[in-house]
Amino acid sequence: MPHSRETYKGRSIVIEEPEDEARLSEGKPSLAIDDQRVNVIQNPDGTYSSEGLYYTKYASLPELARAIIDSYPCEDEPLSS
Amino acid sequence: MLTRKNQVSLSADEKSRFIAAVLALKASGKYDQYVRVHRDAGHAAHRGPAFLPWHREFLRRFELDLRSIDPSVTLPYWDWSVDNSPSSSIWNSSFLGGNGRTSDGKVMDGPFAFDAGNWRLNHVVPPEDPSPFLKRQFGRSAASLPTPASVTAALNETPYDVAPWDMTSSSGFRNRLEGWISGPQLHNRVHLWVGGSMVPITSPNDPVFFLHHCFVDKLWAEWQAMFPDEGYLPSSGAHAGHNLNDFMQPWSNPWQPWNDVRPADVLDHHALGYRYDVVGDLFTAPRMLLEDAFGYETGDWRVERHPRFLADLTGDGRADIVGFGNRGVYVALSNGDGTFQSLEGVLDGFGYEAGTWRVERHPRFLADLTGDGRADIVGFGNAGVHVSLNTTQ
Repeated sequence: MPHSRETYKGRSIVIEEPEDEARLSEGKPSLAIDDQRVNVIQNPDGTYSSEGLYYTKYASLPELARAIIDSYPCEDEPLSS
Repeated sequence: MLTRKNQVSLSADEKSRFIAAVLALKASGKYDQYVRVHRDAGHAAHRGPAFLPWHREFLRRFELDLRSIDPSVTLPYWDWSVDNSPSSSIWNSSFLGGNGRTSDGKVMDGPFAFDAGNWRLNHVVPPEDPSPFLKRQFGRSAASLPTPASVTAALNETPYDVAPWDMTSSSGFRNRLEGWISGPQLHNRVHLWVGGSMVPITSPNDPVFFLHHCFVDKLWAEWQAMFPDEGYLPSSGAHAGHNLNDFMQPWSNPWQPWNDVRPADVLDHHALGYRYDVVGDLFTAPRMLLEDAFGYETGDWRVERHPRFLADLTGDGRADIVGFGNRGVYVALSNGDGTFQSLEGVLDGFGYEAGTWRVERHPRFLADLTGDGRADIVGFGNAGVHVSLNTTQ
């Protein structure tokens, strides 16, 4: 699988996509942000969504990954309970 | 039959009873079952024809559970096309609470604020958002809520759905309302505008989910009333669970044995035991069924000059339109289905210019003078009563 890596707002994005058409129909690409795998949804029009961004779609996996980082920044405060 | 009301028309007592029932359902653990079922359903409940029936059944079960706690409670709906501001009363701290704080979207007021101690999110979507607290970020992912015009456009769209019966369907009421056409729009856009916990598949974590989907269900009910001949589509050809007589999935654990609901079973919401307080049950949404006639701009019809009436001119038991214009009497005969034939001038008289009839001096009426079931014209002029008998055969 070809890899693509980038850092966006200080967080790592790693994308792996199936190499050929046959594998594309069997498997789905994987997306990891900060080494944690995101459940990617492949839409029938070739766009992507995720469980965390379920009500919209993105033209490419890098766009989805950046949108996830924009939507869910790592700034959660420590919980008091 | 239960009546679901617009949330703006709820009394303070009705609001507090609804909130108390939701909190009690959360405390019992049942509320979180709804979050989990919605999450696990995924595409079985979205991006296809079953989007509307699946959520109708989901809301019905939720409402029944609330009513098992307080029988006076019914689901309210949020008309986001009208109550479209962060300051709308739905977001008051005594009802659903307001927007989240700027730093992380954490809701800080109202009954569902994490810090109030009653609302911890137990089903989330790690690693994207593992937060256990309710978040809202108004306008961050979508700048504005859908407009009334966009709602009207969806309501006027037929048929119910079109091939390929998924999120790529280029037309059809379902995909228009779900919001994938030129999206995100309508239903999807509302999730994004609220933001925070309404954005992931676990969106029922925010109780506003149920008020939002109650309005979506109301719009479907309105559409069904507007187009009674437009049935659910398809009966076959869609993904499993989305065809008319498929069992919708996953109505499995924790809700077995209720895994036997099909779209066909929920098409008639009255049969499910509820109605909506306004449009859709007593009247359909307004549509223009006679264009370029009898209008302020289409014909220069004025209240102070041109009285317009509804009366049966043909004896078929259906009201026709009669207007007293400048040059005489105009009619548009009813087709009997809410539509009318074209406007037609039928009499030179009783008009503002034809006879100098004035609204403030010369009242005109339509009444059956001969007992044939057809309305005749009676006008009170300067010197006496003028009559024009109906000669329609």
